[in-house]
Order: sequence, then structure tokens, then C-alpha cells
Amino acid sequence: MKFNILNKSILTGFVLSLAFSLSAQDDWTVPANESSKVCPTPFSSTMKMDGKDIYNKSCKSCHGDIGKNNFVPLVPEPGDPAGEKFSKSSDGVLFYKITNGKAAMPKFKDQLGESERWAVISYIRSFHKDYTPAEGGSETATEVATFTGKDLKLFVNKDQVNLEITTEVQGNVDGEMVPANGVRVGFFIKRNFGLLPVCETITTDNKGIAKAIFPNDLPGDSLGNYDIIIKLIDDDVYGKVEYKETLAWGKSFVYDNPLNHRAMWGNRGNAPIWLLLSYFGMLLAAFAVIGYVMLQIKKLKSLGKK
Amino acid sequence: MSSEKLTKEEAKSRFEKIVSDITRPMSHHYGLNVWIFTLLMILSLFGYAYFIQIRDGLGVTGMHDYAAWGMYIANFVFFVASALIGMLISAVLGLSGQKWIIPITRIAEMIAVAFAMIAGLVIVFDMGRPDRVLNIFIHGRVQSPIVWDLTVVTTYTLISTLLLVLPLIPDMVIIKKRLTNAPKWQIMIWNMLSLGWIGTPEQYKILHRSIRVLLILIIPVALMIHTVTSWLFAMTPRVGWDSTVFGPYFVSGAFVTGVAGVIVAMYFFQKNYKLKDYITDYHFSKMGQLFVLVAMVYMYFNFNEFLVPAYKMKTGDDHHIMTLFVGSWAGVFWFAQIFGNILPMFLPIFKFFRKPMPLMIIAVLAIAGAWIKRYIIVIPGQLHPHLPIQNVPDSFHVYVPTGPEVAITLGTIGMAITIITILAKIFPVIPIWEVAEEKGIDKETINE
Repeated sequence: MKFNILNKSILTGFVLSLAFSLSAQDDWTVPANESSKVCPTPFSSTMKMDGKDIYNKSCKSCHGDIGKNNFVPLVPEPGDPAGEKFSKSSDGVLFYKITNGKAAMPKFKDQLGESERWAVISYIRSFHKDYTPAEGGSETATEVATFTGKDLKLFVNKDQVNLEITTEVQGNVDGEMVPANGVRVGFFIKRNFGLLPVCETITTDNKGIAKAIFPNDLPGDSLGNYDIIIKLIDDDVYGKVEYKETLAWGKSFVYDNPLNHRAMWGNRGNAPIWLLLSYFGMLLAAFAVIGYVMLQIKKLKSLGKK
Repeated sequence: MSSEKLTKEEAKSRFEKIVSDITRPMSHHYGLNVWIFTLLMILSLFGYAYFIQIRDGLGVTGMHDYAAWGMYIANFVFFVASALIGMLISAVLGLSGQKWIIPITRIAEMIAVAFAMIAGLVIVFDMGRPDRVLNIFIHGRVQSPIVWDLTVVTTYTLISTLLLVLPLIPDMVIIKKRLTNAPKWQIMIWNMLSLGWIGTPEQYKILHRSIRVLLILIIPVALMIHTVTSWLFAMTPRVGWDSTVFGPYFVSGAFVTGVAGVIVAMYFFQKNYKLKDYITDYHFSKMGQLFVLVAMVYMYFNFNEFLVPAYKMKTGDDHHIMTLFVGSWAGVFWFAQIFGNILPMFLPIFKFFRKPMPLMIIAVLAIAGAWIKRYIIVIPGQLHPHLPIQNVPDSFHVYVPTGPEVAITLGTIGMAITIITILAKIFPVIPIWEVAEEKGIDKETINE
């Protein structure tokens, strides 16, 4: 089942990329102020390991194994991240493209935190021999993060009737846990192909609260379960803070394999009844006549013996 | 001539002449040795080529990822087409009361049996490993046209064999009594197939009834065998195969091939077996008329098959039709259309071309045209797939049959002719009892 949906996603990507191929040639220009952006912290080995995990989850299905040139042949082609197209791009260009997406390249702005996106870039850069790290700056990081506390925590309250989740974010300010105001929280449902945002990113109010209503018509597993993920978007500032749970809020979805039904494309045990009747009916009729003639021949022979 | 009443003596002497005329070529003669030697050469060439194919696999053929069906399948379609003639002559014309077909019914049935039998074998040769034919029985799905085809080819072969054997029964007794010098194994076969025939009215009744029932049965089965063969192609959305008239198009084409085959065989037997009194110019003239009729029907379906898509010129079809009509396939295409359809439709309208020799020449060319037509149906469509052929060796853009492939194909034709030769050697090619009855000789004299 997983395989099937993965295939569907790839196919969808393929179709999408065909549809956009006219507009999305290699002329993907990145604004100058974006292309000069650099990671606020130097690339580290832990960052690279994180990047690898994220890459395998979110990027590999199209871009393939880095260095093996086994990316999915879409138009325009996604390319191997070890290739020149990537190594000659500045960090800012890569970051912009991952953040905003275009055509078949998904927009990861709301699904991956900034540090997660930089982690992916640090992983990709480990394949570029001639890469020299740019001087780290910090001007990008503090743009949105206004809450200055540390050790942020999420407290989640579920409303089973309205499928509403209220998240209270608290952080440590001077040794005391206080509601975190102005922190961006993302609400997601895990799908096979990445994270599905439930709504736009929500910024906590002065009580540290962000709310989101979850859908009830989304296909889950056979019991209607889906995994939710609530996390802080600015993980480069606050670190990785997230909350995961499996909830039975979706619609029960049982994959109905068409091969299990009687059909022309079915296996031999699932031949359509009308076809079986026609085939064996005709065969039987023909061989009944042949059998009749055989009996006549026998009779002919016995008549000759008299 | 059948209306005059013959005396007992006259009837007897006339009957003995018929028997000796028809059975004379069954004894050994020099020409046969040469003929059999030629056939053996072809068969041994086949044997060597098939050994290579078994040893090295289907890679020795010109088939590849794109043209996965090649000369073998074209040849298979041709064989099935040729086999249909038994049904047209014996069943359609016979049941409608045409008396002139009596002397040629057995020739038609022999062709039908030989070609239907080998048609099945051709499929086995098309498989890289012949043992895989068992997989059709082990894993075959009723939904697959290939299973339908296997079923119907087998059934048709069985019915055709019965239709060959049943009218032989009275003849077996006639020749068994007279050709006592024949080799033992031949007499044994005659004995076996005479089935205790003594010619009682009851036996006649049973024989006629059985033949009649089979003649009725073989009409739908024969239509099905070639319709299903056409479905092997028409059930796919491929350019050039994706056609709703493929069934009747194939059947009508088969009748042209079959009539041509019978004309060639008639000419051969008339000359070599010296049967001028039985296979007469009148028979050739009739076959010539039949040739015109079936060619007209075939032309009608050709118009449908090409004019309709050519008017619309859908993407894919356009390229296919242009390559056939004016492109790289134009030469063979027009050869097939002119000699396989247009000439047989017009020339035999004139009396001169219905004489044995001219008609035989038209028939030989029509057979060549028919074979090439099958080739054109099978191969070009595969070379214009809906998705472009890319990232493959250059040789995958064309299909060129190899030496072993041609040798195996020739071998199958050799096999069919060998079967006809053997059948014509151990059985009379003209039904003695039916011809005698037609000439007014009473049943008593025939069965004496």
C-alpha cells in the first residue's frame, strides 16, 4: 500500500512537472538578497547527520541517492545534488529553492524549519569537494523570533468533538516558565510523502496559545488513525521542539486492490463470470458435437460387424 | 450425365476406371523422390536452424524489445488464414448445394489440416523455450486472447481432421480391396480407417449425418479461429492494430489466401496426378469466379481498414499510414495490395485468366502477396509505439529477420507441404465414392 501511494505521488509529480515544464525551465532566478543568504551557524557534523535524515525522508524520492545520478527523470529534471547544478549554486540559492519550491519541487517553507533546511544543505555540501563554507551570519535568524525564552515546551489540549487542538507554548525566562508569545507553531498531519500542513503557520498569542482545527475527512489507516505533528517552526532559534501523536480523527481507509475483483485484468481465479460462461459454454458445445460424431463413428463400426 | 440409367456392366467398368485413374498416382514414381528429397533438404535446414535457436535462445532472431513479434507471428497468421479454406469449400459451398466442389473438397481439407496443425507449431517455435508452451495450461487466464486462440486452433484442427477422415471411410474400403500390392503399413492404415464399412443404407445415413453436423459446426469455429487470431492484435491500443474491423478483415483476407492455395494445389494435382477428367477447366473457372468474389469482399474491408483512419489522420495513425502508403514500407505494401487483392479481383473476371495456367500464376502471386500482407500487419505497428523509442541501440529502430529465422519459417512451410504430400500419397486426393455417385454409379457397385 505504501509503495502504491509512493508510486502515485511520483506519478503526480511527473504529471505536474509535465504541466509546468513550459514555464519552469532552467530559468529559476533567485532574488539577489536571497542568494547571498548564509547559514547563521557553521555547518557541523550533527547538522549533516540531521540533514541526511531529512534528505532521505523528503528529498530522496525525487533526487535519488546523492552521487548516484538515479533521480527520477522528470522534466525539468530534479538533478543529482552532487552535480554541478547544485555545487555551483550559492547556499542562499539552495535555501531559497528549498524554501519556496517551484513546479514539481515542493515548497518546504512550512514543513521544514529553517535549521532543518540548512541541515539539508549542509548534507548536500558534504558531497561538493570544492565547497568552502561562507562566513556565518545571524541576521536571518532573528527576523521573526521575538520570544527570547529558552527550553520551550508544548502543552497540547485536544477537543475530541470539534477536532480542535490548542497548543500552549511555554518557555524559560530567567528560571521561570512563562507563556511564549509570538512563537510560530506549525500543525501537520503525516502523509506518506511528507508533512501536510493543516493550516497556515500560527503565531502564539500573549497567553502562548496557538489553535488549529484538524480535518475529519482525511483518509487515515484502516482504523481512521493519522499521525499529527505540532512543532515550532523557528527551530534554529528554539531548537527542535515538537509533539507527535496518533489520533483516530481521520476516515477509515481500506485499500481495495482492484486485482481482488473479477475483471478482465484479474488473475485467472478472478475471471469475469460472463467470460467463463461464454468460453466454457462454447467449448462444451463444440466438444459435445464432436463427442456426438465420435459416438456415430462407433455406431458405424458396430453396424459393419453384423 | 447422372440421369442416364447405366447397365450393371457399364457401371462397373466406369467405376473401375475412376478408381484406377484416381489411385494411379498413389503408387511410387520418380518425380516423387525428387520432391521428397527437396522437402527433406528444407526440413534439415530447419532442423539445424532450430537447433541453433534452442541452443542460443531467441537472440539469434531479429526480434528485440520493440519488435517482439516478427516473422514467426506473421507466418502464423498466414497459416491460420490458409487453414480456413476447408470451411469455405466444404461447409459454405457444400451446404449450399454446390455440386462442382465435390472433386476438390478433399484437397481443401488436406490443406486445412496441414496448415492448422503447423500453425500451432509455429507458435511453439516463436517461444524461446518450447517447454514454456505448458505454461499456457498451467498459468493461462481465460481473459487472455492467447488462451482463446490456443483453444480454437486445437478445436479447428480436430474438426478438420474429422472432416478429412469421415468422407475417406468408403474410399478406404474401395482402395483396400484393389491396391493389394501396397506396403503393409499403408494397408493397415486403410483397414483401420475403413471402420467396418459395408455400405448399408443405415451406415450411409450415419455417415451423411455426421459429416453434415461437423460441416455446420466448423463454420462458427473457423470464423472464430481467425477472428481470435486478429484479436491477438486488435485487443491492444497499438497503432495499426487498434481496429474494430480486424476480425472480418482477417477472415476475408483468409478466404483470398485459401482460394489461392486450393487453386495452386488443384493445378499441381491435375498436372502431376493426371486428373484432367476430374479436375477440369470448369473447376478452375468456378474457382476463378470464387476468387473474384472473395477478393471483392477483402477489398471492401481493406477500404474500411485504411480509408477510415486515413480520413481522420489521428496522431500515430498518420505516421503509420504514411509509411505504408508512400514511406519506407510502400514497396512491399503495394506489392501485397496489388498482387494479393487487386489482381485477383479483376483478372479472373475475364475468361482467359480463369484457365488453369493463368489462374495458377495469379494464385501464386496472391499467396506471396498474402504472406507479405501478414508481415506488414505484424511488424510496422510495433516500430511506431505511442512512446518514442529512445536510449536503445540503433538496431532497435528496425526489424530485420535473421538467417535462422528465415530458415525456420521456410521449414514450417516445408512441413505443411510435407504433410499434404504424405496425405496425398496414402489417401486418394479425390473422393472416389462421391465422384462416382455424382456420375450416376449406384451404391451397390461402389461398395462391391
